[in-house]
Amino acid sequence: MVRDYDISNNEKQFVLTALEQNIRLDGRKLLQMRDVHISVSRDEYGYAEVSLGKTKVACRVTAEITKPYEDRPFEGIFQISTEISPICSPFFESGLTTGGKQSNDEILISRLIEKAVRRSGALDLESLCIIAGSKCWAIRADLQFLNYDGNFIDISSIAVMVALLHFRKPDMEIDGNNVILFDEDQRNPVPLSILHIPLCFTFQFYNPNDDEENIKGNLNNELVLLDANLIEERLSLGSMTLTINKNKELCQMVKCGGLNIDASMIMNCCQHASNLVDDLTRKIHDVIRTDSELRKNPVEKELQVVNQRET
Amino acid sequence: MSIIVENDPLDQVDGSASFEFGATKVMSSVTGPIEAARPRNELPTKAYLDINIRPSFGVPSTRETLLEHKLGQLLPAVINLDQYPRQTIQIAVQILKNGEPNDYTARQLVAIINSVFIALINSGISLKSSLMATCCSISTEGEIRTSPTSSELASSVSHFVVVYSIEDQQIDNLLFCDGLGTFKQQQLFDVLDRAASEILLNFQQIRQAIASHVSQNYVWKA
Amino acid sequence: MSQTASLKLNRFPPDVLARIAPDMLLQKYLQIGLRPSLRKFDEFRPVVISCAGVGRYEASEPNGDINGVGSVLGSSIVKSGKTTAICLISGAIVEDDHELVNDYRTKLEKDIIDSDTHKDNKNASVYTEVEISRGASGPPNEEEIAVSHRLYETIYHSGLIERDALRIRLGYKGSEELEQEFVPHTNYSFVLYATIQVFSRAGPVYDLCYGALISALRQTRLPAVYIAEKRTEAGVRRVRVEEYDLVCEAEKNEPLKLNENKIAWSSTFGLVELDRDVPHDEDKMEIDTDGKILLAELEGEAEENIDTRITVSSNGSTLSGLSVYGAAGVTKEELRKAFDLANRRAQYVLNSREMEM
Repeated sequence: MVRDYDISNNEKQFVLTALEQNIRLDGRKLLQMRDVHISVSRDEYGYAEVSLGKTKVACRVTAEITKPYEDRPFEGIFQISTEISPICSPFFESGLTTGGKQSNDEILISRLIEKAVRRSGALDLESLCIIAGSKCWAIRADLQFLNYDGNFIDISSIAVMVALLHFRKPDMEIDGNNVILFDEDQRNPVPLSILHIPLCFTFQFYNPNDDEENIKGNLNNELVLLDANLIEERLSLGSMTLTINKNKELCQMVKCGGLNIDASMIMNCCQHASNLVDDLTRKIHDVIRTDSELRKNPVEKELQVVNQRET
Repeated sequence: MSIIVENDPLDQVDGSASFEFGATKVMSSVTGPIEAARPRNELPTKAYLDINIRPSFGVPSTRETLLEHKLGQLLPAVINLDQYPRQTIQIAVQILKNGEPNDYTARQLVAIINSVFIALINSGISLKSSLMATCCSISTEGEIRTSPTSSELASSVSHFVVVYSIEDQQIDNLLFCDGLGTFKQQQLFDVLDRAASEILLNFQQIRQAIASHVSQNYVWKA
Repeated sequence: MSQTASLKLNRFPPDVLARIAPDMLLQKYLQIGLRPSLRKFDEFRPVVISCAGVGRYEASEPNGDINGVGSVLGSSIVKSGKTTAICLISGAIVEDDHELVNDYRTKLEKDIIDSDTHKDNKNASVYTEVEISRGASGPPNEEEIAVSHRLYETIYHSGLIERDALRIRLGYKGSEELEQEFVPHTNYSFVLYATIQVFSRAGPVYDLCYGALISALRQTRLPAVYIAEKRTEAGVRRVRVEEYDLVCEAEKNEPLKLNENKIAWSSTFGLVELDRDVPHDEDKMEIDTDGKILLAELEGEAEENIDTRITVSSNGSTLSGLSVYGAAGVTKEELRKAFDLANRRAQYVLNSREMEM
């Protein structure tokens, strides 16, 4: 069996000392994110591949018609599934929650994404209702982790949101109790109703001093890192994930234990994240817009052909 | 048919490859030889193949188990398992785009086999021969199509996945053939011939992709 | 003092040799033109197909009364050699809703759609669960799952069962047609499940499972379904949900419609090479071939190790499911030989009186 990723003491010292001098191994500033690269599928709707440096994630959104939950007859169903397969790193054992450190990570990631996207109401569930109490859309987002170089959380939130924005469900009509669905060739499929785009930003904390200074002292010189890579993530003493949208609304804030951090530093993190969210949101919208423009032309041409035939 | 091969896109595993043809895309990774995770997977004379296939959406089902089973039937024919006694070779496959109706697995199986083969080469595992897979379908009119599209598959009466081994850039042996639907004996032989020439053609492309990757890796040696 | 070491020739009885050197034993047998089971190379085991008699509409009593209860709709027992497979078919009723996405084209804008580009798959299948008894219980292993899903795929793609054959036509309890206004908006269909149990296996089980499944499907009878007078309207938060009670008749039933020409029989062959290096008696050597030997219906420990195999279903002339794999490679000549045997075998089994039952 492959053991956990081991970091030697030398490497650890090297990385931490460099961090204290505001240097990261990949040449970034402490609060700088890696380049986000987003690509969406041209052949179909609802598929996005996102990479953040070497970390790579794919997300696919699918829809089907089912019966709504009995206690929520007016709402559709939205599920996000996150399962880490051994493809992204042999440390992750296949599909088993064997109770190791990794499976805890997996649970943590899926909870965070769940809260960030689903609970923050990014997808309007009531718009998924077709016939109250008997038919609704069930939307499912499957996250596929491909390559692991730290920071699965941030990239997952981007991938899920891009895939949701990219997805189109078939257009339909209701005729009494019957639902008629239209195929892509008959009517353009319709996008989902997305209320806002919550994006996650994960900060890692490091302590250049000893524990006593951290708790008692007033120095407040703990190091804060955004978008850590694999080694940085393994060396981190505590982390915090902020979920924020373009309107600068904080949707979620998670800091579970770890290094004690001064409240004012957290305020700075929030400020920094709200500066970044604009750029990232714009980038996502650009990708979606380019894709829909690329798609528009052939369809219009086809329609023109149909019109020509009729006259 | 255009094939897009990406060599070693993943850096946490020993070898990986993605294989895309038409609307189907699969990513595979190979890790090994590594220590066996469970004692019962430790075979005294040969390596154990730990194959894991994940669907493009939803949870893994019996469909993926059958695909894993088929891969497990094929791979011992090309991997020198005897060279790695008591060890495990972990093969993880992620289907990214199905490119075919839900009840079909032909295109996916082709992409899985080809991507796993390239990933095995990239991982440096000892292999006996090269291999390549392709799929064919027979339409209701009896016409044979190689690498059928999704709609061609859906309207076909039968479809096949064919794997040949390749030696010295020539077709060697039929290693694997999987056929579903109804067909005549002669039709199958025609399919095998068509598949063989298709494989010979496409293998050049894969060979080139592998060659350029290897020369990339050894750029320091110049 | 000198010691002379002498090699003593060990002699093992066949069953011991089978355990320690199965390939050697197999070669020894092949040299004299036989197999460990004492069958000839292309000899199949006799197969006995019978009705299990536990189905809802099967007569189990001597007086010919049908059982009338239970959820089993068809059953069969297939015996081959020591191995027995029991197959039970059960059913459930589902609303067609989940198939809406595939079904909408038939409902509207028919003229716009080019019928050639959109062919709905009309096939249906049976959800199969295979259990190979091995003295211990537990979750199904990979082989069982693979056989089950393979059966599902083969039946589906062979077009044996059409989706229409499973559609439910609702009626009253009597023979009258249901009046138009009472017809519920939703369509209902049967879903078929099969449970196959294999006892004392020897060799690959796929053929036997396939045979048991086909025989049970031929016996399967679907109940007539009518709407009970009770109709519940459940409501949560002022939402009206209509539910109907569907009742399956205890006596009225009709056989499941199968595409008769798609009924097939599956045969598995092993391909093995005669090893010239294995010591042999020149006098007893009966077999003289350079090619590979095709063995029909593998059986026993020595033959389990043959890793080049051909499995094919045939209805006597047309082939349906095919699976070929093996390290040694398979030539067309070998395939042709296997197909001929499979065709002959299928003709024999499918036309035998037992299959009619």
